[in-house]
Order: sequence, then C-alpha cells, then structure tokens
Amino acid sequence: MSRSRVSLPGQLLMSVVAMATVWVALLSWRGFTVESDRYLAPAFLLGVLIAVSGALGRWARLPGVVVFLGQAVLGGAVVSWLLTGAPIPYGAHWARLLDVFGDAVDSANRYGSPIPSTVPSVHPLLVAGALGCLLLVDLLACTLRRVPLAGLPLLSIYTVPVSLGGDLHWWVFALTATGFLALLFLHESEQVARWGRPLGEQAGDPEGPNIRAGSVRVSAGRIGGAATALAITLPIFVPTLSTDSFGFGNGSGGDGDISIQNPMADLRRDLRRGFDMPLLRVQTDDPDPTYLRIAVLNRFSANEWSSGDRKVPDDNVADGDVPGLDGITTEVGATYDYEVEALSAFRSTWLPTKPHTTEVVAPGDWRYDPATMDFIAAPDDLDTAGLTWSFRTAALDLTGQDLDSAPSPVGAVDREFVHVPDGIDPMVGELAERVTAESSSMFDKAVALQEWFRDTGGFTYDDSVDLGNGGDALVEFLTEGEGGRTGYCEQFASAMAVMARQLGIPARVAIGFLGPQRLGRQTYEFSAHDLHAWPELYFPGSGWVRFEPTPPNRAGQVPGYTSGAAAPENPPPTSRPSTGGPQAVPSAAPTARLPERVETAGGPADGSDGSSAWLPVVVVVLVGLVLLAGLLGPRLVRRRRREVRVVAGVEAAWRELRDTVLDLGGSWPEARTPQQTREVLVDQLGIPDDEFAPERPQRGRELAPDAVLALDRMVHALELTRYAPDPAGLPRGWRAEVETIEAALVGGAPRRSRRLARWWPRSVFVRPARRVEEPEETRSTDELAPVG
Amino acid sequence: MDTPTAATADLETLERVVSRVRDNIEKVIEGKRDVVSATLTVLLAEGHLLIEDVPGVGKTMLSKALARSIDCSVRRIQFTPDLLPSDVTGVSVFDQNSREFEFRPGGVFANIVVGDEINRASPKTQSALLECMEERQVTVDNTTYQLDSPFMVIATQNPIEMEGTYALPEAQRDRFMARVSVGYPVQSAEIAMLDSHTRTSPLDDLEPVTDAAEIAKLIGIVGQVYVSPAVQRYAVALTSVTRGSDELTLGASPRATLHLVRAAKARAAIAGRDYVLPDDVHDLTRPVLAHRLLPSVEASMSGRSTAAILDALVATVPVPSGTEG
Repeated sequence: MSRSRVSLPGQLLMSVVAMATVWVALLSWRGFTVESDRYLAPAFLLGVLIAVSGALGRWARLPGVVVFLGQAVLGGAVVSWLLTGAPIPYGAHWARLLDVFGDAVDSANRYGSPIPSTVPSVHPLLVAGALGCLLLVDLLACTLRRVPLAGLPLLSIYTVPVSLGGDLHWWVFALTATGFLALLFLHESEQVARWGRPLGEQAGDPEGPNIRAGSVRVSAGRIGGAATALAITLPIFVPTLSTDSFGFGNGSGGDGDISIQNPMADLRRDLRRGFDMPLLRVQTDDPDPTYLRIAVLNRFSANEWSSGDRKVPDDNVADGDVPGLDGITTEVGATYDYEVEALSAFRSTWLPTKPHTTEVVAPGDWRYDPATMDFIAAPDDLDTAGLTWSFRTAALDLTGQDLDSAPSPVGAVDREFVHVPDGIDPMVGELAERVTAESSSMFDKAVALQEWFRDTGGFTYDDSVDLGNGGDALVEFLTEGEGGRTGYCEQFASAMAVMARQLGIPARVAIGFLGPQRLGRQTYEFSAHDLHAWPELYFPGSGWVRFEPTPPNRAGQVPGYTSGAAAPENPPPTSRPSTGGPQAVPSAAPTARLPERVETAGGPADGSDGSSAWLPVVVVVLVGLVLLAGLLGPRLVRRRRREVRVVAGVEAAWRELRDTVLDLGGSWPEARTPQQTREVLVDQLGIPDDEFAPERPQRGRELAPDAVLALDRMVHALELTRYAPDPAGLPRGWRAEVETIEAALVGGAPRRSRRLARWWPRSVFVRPARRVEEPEETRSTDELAPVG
Repeated sequence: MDTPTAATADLETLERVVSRVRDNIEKVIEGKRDVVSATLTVLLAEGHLLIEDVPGVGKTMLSKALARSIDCSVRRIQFTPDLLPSDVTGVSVFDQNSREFEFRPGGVFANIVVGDEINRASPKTQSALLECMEERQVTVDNTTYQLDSPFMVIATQNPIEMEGTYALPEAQRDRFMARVSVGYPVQSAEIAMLDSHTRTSPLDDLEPVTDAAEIAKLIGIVGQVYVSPAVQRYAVALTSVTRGSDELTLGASPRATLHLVRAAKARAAIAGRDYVLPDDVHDLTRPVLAHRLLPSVEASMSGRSTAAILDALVATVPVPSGTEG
C-alpha cells in the first residue's frame, strides 16, 4: 500500500465523524414533528450506510462519481424501503411513495410545527431531506475532501428551523460545530501526514493521520472551542437581527403560529372567566366606540370557525395608511381617531382596531391582511401586552335602502365566504329558508335572520352553556326543546353567519369587544367580559356589514341600518343627511372586488393550497446557499489560501505560484524540478498590470525583468529549503515576490484566462497530485538477464 | 546528516581546476561543451566513461585530450579482435636471471586508461576489464595488484551496428558510469578544425594543467556534497521506474542508482553547489542510465530509441519536494 492512500480505518473514521455531525445537526429539526423518532432513526441508518459504503468505495479507489452515485442509489433504495416496503418503487409502490410524500407536503402546508401525530406524518420529507444532507456532506467532506465547504450544508440544516422560528437548543449547535471542527482537524492532520517527514525532524509515523506536535493539537482545540463558545454566547449580547429584513420572516412564513392562537377559544375562555379584568384603555373622539374588532374568522369547517390560511404579504406593514376602504363606495360620514393602550394582561397577536381603519401606527412589525383588515404580529415574540397604538377609522353612512338595493354578491368575494361544508345538517339550510321566506332582497333576509335570533326565534342568552361553534353544536343550538336555542354570542354569531351562507350571502364571524366602560370624556376601558362575537355579511358597495343576532339582554342595540330606519351606522355628531336612494349606489358595485384575495382564486375551497409552508423556504434557502457557495466559495477559498501562504515559508509561496498558474489555465507537472518550472514560467511572463493588454498579450522573459529576478530568488530559496543540508535562516513572507510574479503571469495570460482565474479559480478544485506509487516489494529479477 | 559538507573554499578550488581542464580540452575539441562537461563529471565521480559514436568524430581525441590535461600516467589500449586478456591485465613472466616469476603489468596499470574501440575485441578480452573497473585491482596468478588512484577507463566504441564489432556484455556496460556521444561538430567548428588540425596535431601542444594528486583531492571534495533524502528518493524512483516498464526487458541496476547519485554529486560540485538538486539527477539520467537498458522487442520494432523510452519514463516521476505537492 502506498503512503498516499488513506487506510480503511482512516477513511471510516472520517466518514463516521461526517455522518455523525450531520445527524446531530438534524436534531435541530425535532421541532417540526412530535414524532421525531420517525426521521431520526432512518437518518441514523442512512448515515451508517453512507459512511460505510463511502469509506469502502474510497478505500477501493473507486472514482468519486461512482462512490456518490452508489451512495445515492443505496440511500434512495433504503428510503423507498422504509416508506413503501419495497427498495425499488414501481407500480403500486411508486403510487404509495407519491401518496406518502403528497400527504407529508399536505401536512406541512396545513399545520404548524410541531405537526401532531394525529395527521399524516411529515417524516418522509424529513427523511428525504436528511438523505440529501448526508449525501452532500459525505460528497464534500470525504469524497472531494473539501471539508470547509461541507460546513454549508450543515449550516443550511440548522438554518431551516432558525428561519421558521423553531425551538432550538444551543447544544445542538455546539455539537454540530464540534463535529465540524473534528472533521476539519482530521482532514488537516491527514494532509500534514501526507507531506511526509519534514526536514530536520526525526521520523514520526508518517502513515496514520496524526498531527505530531502536541502543542499544535492543543492550540487547534483551543481555537475551535473558543470559536464555538463565542458563536453560542455572542448572540445573547447582540441585538437580534430581524429575520424579516431577509424576507423570510413570519410574514410570509405561513400562519402556523396564528392558527394556534384561535381567537374564538380565547373569547370563550375570557367570557367564562369568573372575574373581570380590564384589558384595553381607549382614548377617542368617537362618540360610539363599540365593536372594537380583534380578528375575523372566515373559514367554516365542520368543526369550527377559524381564521383559515392567511398569506400576509411582506409589504403589508401596518405603519401609516392602510387600505381599509378599498372596494367600498358608500360615503364616509366621519373619521375618528383612536389611541389604544393594551394592559399587560391582554396578550394578543392580533391588533384590535375598528372596521374601516384607514391609518394605523403601531410599534413593532404588524402586518395587515388586506382581505379582512386584520392586523397580525409578524414576529413570534410580538403581542399587544403593554403596547400603545393609534388608528383612524371611518364611519360609513350605511342606510337600509342602500343595502337593500345592493347587487348580488355572487362573484364579488371569494367563494370561501359562502362555503358550507357538506356535513352540515340540511335542517340548518331549511331553517334559514323558512325564516327568510318572506324576505325578498339579500339584505332583507339578513335583517330577518337577525330579528329571528334576537326576538322571534325564542333564543336565550346564557354564557354558561358548553357549546362550540361547529356543525353539530350549531344543530344543537338551533334545535328547539330542552337546552336548545340557548347560547352566547359565539353561537349566535356563528349560526347567523352559517345560515347567511346557506342563503348565498357571504358571511364571516368577527371577534372583538362589544362596548366599553366610560372612564372620562373621551376615555373608555374594555374588559375581559366585553369580549364579543358578531357576524359580518358582505354587500357589494358597502363591504362587510355588521349584524347583531345576540339577544338584547347582552347586545342592547342593533345597527341602525337594520332597524328599518335609514339611520346612519353611528349617530354622527356632525350629522350629515343621508344621500339615500337606490341610485346612490354606483352601478359599478357588482364588480367591486376586495383588493387582494386571501386565497388564490379558483383554488379548492378547503384552502389546502396557496398557503405558504416551510418547505419552499427550505428549498429556497438551500438552493440560495448552494448557489452562493458555488459562486463565491472558490474565490473566498482561494483568497484565504493566498493570504496564508504569502506570509509563510517559500514552500507555501511556491504552492501559491502553482495555484496561480493553474488558475490561469497553465499546467504544473509534478515531474518538473523547480529549475525547469522556472524555465517554463519565464517564457509565460507578460507586461505586469497591463489593463489594455490584447486578447493574446505578448510574452517573454524580457517583458518582466523584475518578475524573473523574483522567480530566481524563490527558486533558489526553494532549492535550499528542499535539498540543501542546512536550510536555516531563510526568510519567511514572500508576498512581494509572489505578487510581482503573479502580476507578470497575469499580464501574459489571455484575457479569457484572466477572467476565469478571477471568478473561477481552478486550483481550488484541482487536487494536488499524489506522490507516485513506490512499490515496496522487491522486484524479482528472475526474468531478467543476469546482471553482474 | 553527520557527514561534513564541502566547504566553499574547496568548491572554488574545484571549480577553478575544472574550468582549467575544460578550457584545455576545448582547445582540441571545439563546440562540445556538454560532452566535455560529462567527461569531467565522470572523472570527478570516479566513474568510467564510454564514448560511443561513429568513427571520426573525435572520440579518441577527447579521451587523449583529457588524459594529457592531467599530469598522470596514461595508457592506451587499442582493442583489436586478437587482443588477449593478458594484454589488458598483465602477465607473469619467468625471469631466467632471478629464476622467479615476474609480473609485467598490463595496459590498465595507469591513472587513465584509454580503451580505444573497445567493442572490437572479443568478449573474453572485454571481460578482463571487469574486475579492474569495478574493484580497481587486478588479480593475476592468485596475486592481487592494486591500481593507482585516480583510476578512470575511457573507452570508445562504434555503435554496435557497425561491422566487426562485438556488443559489450551487459555486465561491462553496467560498469561504465556514463555513456556519451560526441556527435558531429557544427559547421563553424568544423571549419576551425580544418585550420588547426591540418598543420600539426593540436594534441601535441597540450600541456597538463593539473595532476593526479589534485584530482584525487577534488574527488574527495565531491564525496562531501550533500544529497538530501528527497533527492535520494528521486534517484531511486527514477531507476525503479525503468524496472517496471513494459518497453524495457532490462531496467537499471542498483549500481546504476549509485552511479547516478555519484555523478549528480560531481555535477553539483562543478556547479559550485554543496548539495544536489533534482535537476542534477534529472539531467544525468540519459548519460548514466540509457546504455544500461535493453529495449523490449516490441519497442525495438516500433523504432523507439532507448533514450526516448527513458525520457518518457522520467517524465512520469514526480520531483520530490518538502510537501505533498
């Protein structure tokens, strides 16, 4: 076995350390699913397989491509076997594999992390991702021996949960960093061992990977340890850089955190709270500061009303003007300014405002959803506790006539707002038809429903009932009899919204505060018991219009426009006569659309599409990192090497020269002595720093006499270092010589080579040629003629 | 390394003497600096030189010029087909007066032995040179006679394709440190030669510029030139590569490695260095190794010369450095 060949244990050690490092880094993904074993165990198996197969392949001197492809095929087969039970997925197994991945993508899109165990697991995605990372790291670190580059995939593994705001432990980072350092250490010590025995030092064991001097090992360990410790502790003292500035913050990162905090659940809890507590203090010139809205629930599934999937664009930052009146043609009666102070007990990731808000100033990164005009906290740690914000709201001059003559809402809003899941008892629809049988217009029907709930339907308000707002709860709530037709605002609001939907009126449920307690002339206080829910129905031209189905003993007044009198929504202090009349509604109203849909139009109404999930983020981050590394990596590596080499001894400077020649497309045969190399190089020199050199510049030793002298100095010093008995006293630091020669070499290189050298330094990828095989066994001379 | 290395003053002396001898020889052989240098290198490396070329290019002239330049004993043996081994080594003759056998030394008892047309003698006679060349001694009738130092055999031969020649045995070829060809002179040198050589023989005017004792001292200086382990590895790699080649049936022997390094030391010393460079070894591969190699039948048939095969092999051997690269 030759000296340059790394022994099998050496190969194995390197591979195993690399795979263990990746596996440890993969621990950072545990936050994605509650069943983390389901990807960690396969990843472990894959790591072992890749490590062993890679080590064997490399030890057998197989080409790197073959090793990598072999590992990829093996890993793919194992993944397929784990997921479908067959190593080669074809036929039914292929369909099963697609299903498994489809379900996983679906779960990843639909649910926030950690994905619960009750839904299809996302572990296939995690296993596939783990396989990719394992393969990449093994390829870079072990097959290509570019250990520093292997840090990039490791970093991207860690970046994924970081960018999604996952729960991360510092020790995962510390362990990964330690593994990476160990890889670097192994690689470097192997490199050093391959140099052979340095002159003037007694032979150690040049075979195994070892760095001889203990002090070197100690300082390497110290530097690595200090760097890792710094990386972990420094962020504690440095203000966190907002991830939003990179565009992959929570804003577009999906609604995982939002859907967890269901406003409806909060409402239920707060209403039942035995004691009341103040939550908000409001200062406003609005004479009627009621119905302060927190959030809008626009999706009704068979189980509950929810806020659905929201894609909040990055640029919808709530700071200044907001499009609260888009799509509304009804005249604005007055505008009022609010200043709201949330007390520390009020923790909400939704910012309470009034409907038709046109301007918001709130500290922190709040984003608005243009479809609902909800204000949502973008960062994880942002909520309303202790926050003070202000907004301006418009009071619309809504009249019964206007609403009555509103055109059909069909097509004006997303179909989601009229969607009723299939499982709902037909009795609900029949009831809605019966109640509104005598009403002609949509608005009339809505008013009839409101009346029915408040007055004629025989409903009782009781906030102690334990009903939800899903389909079954609804049926129970609407059914007459023992315990029936009893509920609180949640049931009233959701029942009216569902029934309106059954009638074809777009409807949603709003959560907010009903009426405050007045503290001063323009000061009010909302408390926990003021929390309320009400339905909002859509009428083209007027937008989303509030109704109040909750009985009078809870909600005293119905909106003015529903009480038959064509009164404005708020009795205006600066009363304006209503413009009234059907002709006041612009004919363009039917085409009025909400400025931006929450959902992409035409998508399935169940909303499983269009949501932003972490998968694309992962892909984008990974691809971006790989591209960036590919583009800038070689340059950086090259520059770093150079800086180290020009201050070291002449051997390092000589290697720097070799890399420059390689970068410029030249060759550097190992069978050339320094003198011969010098002879070749002097004929390649050109005029240094010649900006205007032609495509093929002149070459010759007479063009750069300085470079020739520098080259001679280097060659002489190199020969002394390598071959003279006592090379001591040679200078270190060859920057001047190297730069002089390189400038002349660049000056003599064709323009294309120069560009290539600058942007794609080839030397980074060319492995130094190995020492020639030295057969150690004695060669038999039997077949030779006898030699004296 | 514990061995003392050549001192600067010694190297300067060596350089001075070598350049004097070189200038002297070049009075006779013009425009053949390389060949003259190789000759001097072999002399200082205590080797034997084989000059091979077609007749009439100055082989004998070169060897005689070297011999004349040094004030030492010189013998010339003209090898002919009827030359006997005893003519080379010497013979014991019965002295009638003293009634004892008396040893009459043969042609090899001199500091410089010029063996002219060595491949015209029979292999038996050629073999007589074996012992003297390697061991610097002659054994006749169980008595061993030491040869003088310095001792150098300069043999000339015609290429073996020429008529009336016997190929030198491999064992004998291996004992020559280097083989050089003189080659035809360039035109200007040939014209100048016409001027000088037609009137008198320039060899007659040649005066010795050094003596045997000084040459022995110079040989001592060469012995102190440092050979780094890297260069030693390189020399071994160069000879090993010839042993594994398919194009050669006979590669270079370990003696060849020894000769290569010794010649490289002499070359380094002549260049004023007290250490050997890979260049020294590299540049000497052709003269030192080529004549020892036997091309395979296939290689001979394809018309590749041994030197070309050797050059190709040498180009595959990495030059050792302080690092892996």
